Amino acid sequence: MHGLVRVENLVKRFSKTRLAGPNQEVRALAGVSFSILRGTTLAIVGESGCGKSTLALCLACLERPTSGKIWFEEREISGLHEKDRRVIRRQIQLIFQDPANSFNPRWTVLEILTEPLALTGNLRGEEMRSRAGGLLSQVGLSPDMQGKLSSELSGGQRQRLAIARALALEPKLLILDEALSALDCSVQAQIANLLMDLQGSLKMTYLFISHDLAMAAYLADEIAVMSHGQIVEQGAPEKILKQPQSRITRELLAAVPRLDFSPHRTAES
Amino acid sequence: MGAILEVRDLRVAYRSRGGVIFRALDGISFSLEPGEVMGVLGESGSGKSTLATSLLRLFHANAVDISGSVLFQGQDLLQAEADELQKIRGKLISLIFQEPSVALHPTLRAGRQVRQVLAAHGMNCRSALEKRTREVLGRLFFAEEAERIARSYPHQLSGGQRQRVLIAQAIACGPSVLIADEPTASLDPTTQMETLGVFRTLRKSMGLTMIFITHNPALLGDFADRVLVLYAGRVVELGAAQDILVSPKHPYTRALFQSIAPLFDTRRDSSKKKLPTISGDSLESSLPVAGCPFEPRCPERMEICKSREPGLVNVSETHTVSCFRYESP
Amino acid sequence: MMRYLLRRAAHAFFLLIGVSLLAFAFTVLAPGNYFDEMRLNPEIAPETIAALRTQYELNRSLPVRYVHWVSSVLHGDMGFSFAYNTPVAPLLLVRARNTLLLTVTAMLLAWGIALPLGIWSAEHLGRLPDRLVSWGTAALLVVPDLALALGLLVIAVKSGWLPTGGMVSLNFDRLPFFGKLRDLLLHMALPVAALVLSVLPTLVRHVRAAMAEVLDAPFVLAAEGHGLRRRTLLYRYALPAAANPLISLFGFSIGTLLSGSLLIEVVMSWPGLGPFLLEAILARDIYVVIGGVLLSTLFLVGGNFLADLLLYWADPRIRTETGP
Repeated sequence: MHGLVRVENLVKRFSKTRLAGPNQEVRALAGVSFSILRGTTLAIVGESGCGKSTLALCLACLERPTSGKIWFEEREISGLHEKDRRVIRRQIQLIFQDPANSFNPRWTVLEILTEPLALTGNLRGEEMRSRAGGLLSQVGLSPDMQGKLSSELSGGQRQRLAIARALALEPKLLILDEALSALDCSVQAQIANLLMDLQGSLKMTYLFISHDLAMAAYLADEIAVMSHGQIVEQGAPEKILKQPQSRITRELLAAVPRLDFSPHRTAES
Repeated sequence: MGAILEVRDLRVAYRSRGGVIFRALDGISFSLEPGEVMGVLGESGSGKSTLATSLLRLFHANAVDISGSVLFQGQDLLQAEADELQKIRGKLISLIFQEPSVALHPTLRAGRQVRQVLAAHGMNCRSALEKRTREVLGRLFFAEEAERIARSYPHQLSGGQRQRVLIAQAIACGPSVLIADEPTASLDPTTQMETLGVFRTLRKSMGLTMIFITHNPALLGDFADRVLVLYAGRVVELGAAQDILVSPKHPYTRALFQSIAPLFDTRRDSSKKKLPTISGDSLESSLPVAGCPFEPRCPERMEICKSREPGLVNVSETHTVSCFRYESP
Repeated sequence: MMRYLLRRAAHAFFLLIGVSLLAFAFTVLAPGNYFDEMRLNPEIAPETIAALRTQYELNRSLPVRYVHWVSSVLHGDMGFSFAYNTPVAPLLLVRARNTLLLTVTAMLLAWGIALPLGIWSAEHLGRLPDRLVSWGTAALLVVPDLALALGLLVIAVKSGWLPTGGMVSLNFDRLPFFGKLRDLLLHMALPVAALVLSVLPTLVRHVRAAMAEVLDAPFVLAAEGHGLRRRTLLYRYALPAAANPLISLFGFSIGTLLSGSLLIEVVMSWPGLGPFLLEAILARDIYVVIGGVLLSTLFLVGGNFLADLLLYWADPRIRTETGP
């Protein structure tokens, strides 16, 4: 069964150069394998340092894996030349955690959106502006925001802008690296809804990376739990939540702050 | 029992670079009983960080229009002399800033940063400083770790470790009141749990009175005695944690809880439904000029909500709400 | 730690070699030589000139002369001055000492004023004290060093309080110790004042900018919240965090200790390295020129090296690894 993305035995080692003493070897990914079906969401859940961000960078072709293979649309992309990787990169877009630092602080919303549009090369002036306006509406932002600076937007609005910018290149895969973690609770719900809408209307495929197991379980069709560069457990959300097999999963579950909203809650000490 | 801290009609506004006046706090009043934990629930734009810093009169240069009073042991901190305030900050009332990665000095060792707080409040004997620093760090780190942490620089520490150093600085002089601004916001879930555990232990062992500020209501579940809900610089709901978390009254609080409840509902089916959300944004530009600040986004708004601001109404002995829906006609 | 130091030292060394090579090459290749002046004098026979030229090896090739020169420098012999007919080294060192007397004093004074002034300005950013300092520094920046020096001279002449040139009075040697000291200080006053005024505005602005950025940082507000007093906050908390750009600037200050005061020395007739080198260049006294350039470069390179060392020592983020 071939998915949009398939990863086989991905390994990534970093060598940290030090000013004194031997270089330090860090194994960020120690043999990761999974696949993502088109139009679905795979969530990678783990604590910091488990390698999930490195995984995102490798998939987005911003880092080269030390060994292992990545297939995108049946095409092996981990060994490609830089020239070809650049083309693939357009089809895989990344959304980062920090809305404040994702944008050039001097650019207006319109400039932020037209930058990727200009890359595709075949739109001009008025067409570009109307496409930018269309993108803004698609993510729930008003087209009159085009003249604003990113610093004038709220956290939620900035993430919407980041999604709009990613959509400009009409990607097939969207990698969300802790994209909701820096947002307020109610805003997380809004952006989560937006993502679900876009998945329905554009048949987007998502790789949702997070340490928030609850939100991951809500959005994903499949969850993979990572620790120390390896996937320790993988399965459907209900299975992971109700019958966690690995200790790491159980720890992550126990760490989710819970709130019982039913009126018959017994008082806890 | 008298309140240890009493805030009366606190108002703080900022002047932005364009000259626009932004009301961060618009009439906050509450009192804090000794030994209790008050959870302040507020999202971005609610004024929660301004509240935290205002209690110690730490204002940015562009703060204007400061009024109201913050009474601590009978003294109004907003009117106190500078050197009286200096004796209170860090010693009787401590503030833990959010974002540990920027709240610590980048080029000083962690131990030295704790020592500086002690030295600022009169301790100047070298050996006493070191002894006390070791004691304080020992409460937050394992004995083997504490020595290494003291000698480390902030950039060599993990997020959770930095958070603990901030806590160490705050408790070093044994304060009676601790204000924690989003102490777990940037942390991993397990580190979050550990940090909350640290707060619980400290509260018991030091008899601390705490103000715990967060945007995530789930964190207040086992921890807070009372909860204050902040929206647009105003108190919209205040009461016993049990009451508010189980049966919130204000439309904002209810909508907030509803938007995250499905995440914890283990009985739901596997079809992905959209989360109930609060429409619109909490940006200051979207706030109305008159009337209830939540009115534009309120699912239960009425005509009167646009014209007047609601006052605080008692829903029960321990629960007040600022909403016209609860005002008796 | 050692690797970093060795790397920086190696850079410095190669830089010195490169500069000495270039200086040597340019000076020797420049048209004319010292003895050309002598050809105009009919009393000196051409054979004498030719003999002198051979004696001073002016006829040999460039690489040979360079190698000879390097080997003698390593022995402490920097060559011979044609004009003064004595070895170069003692001449240069005396002049360098005179220059350093001025520039070190000026540097200490300038930093001693710039630091508190810049910090005070940053503390009151946007308000009256800051504006006064900004206008003052802007005014000083706009006035050329030459005008500054001449202006000071005019004041000296009109008021008669201070000597208007030279390093010591004519009767210097007959003065008692404190008299000597007083005489020297009086002569130093004007050139030092001119140097300080020319360098001060840049320093103040840099200090102000660095401090303003740091004072805005969350960790400063957090420290204020811990009850740290204003003085501690400014000088022992904020200033160290603002130090990086200032340390680089300090290294640069040291670098210009020998070379930055040429104009002032000439205008105020101070017997320093600057005027001496100028003379030597015009007279094609090559070994003096090369010696002087080498000395200046030594200071420049040394100053930067010192800045590297200071940065390394002052900022733990440069010298330690990140990560728990």
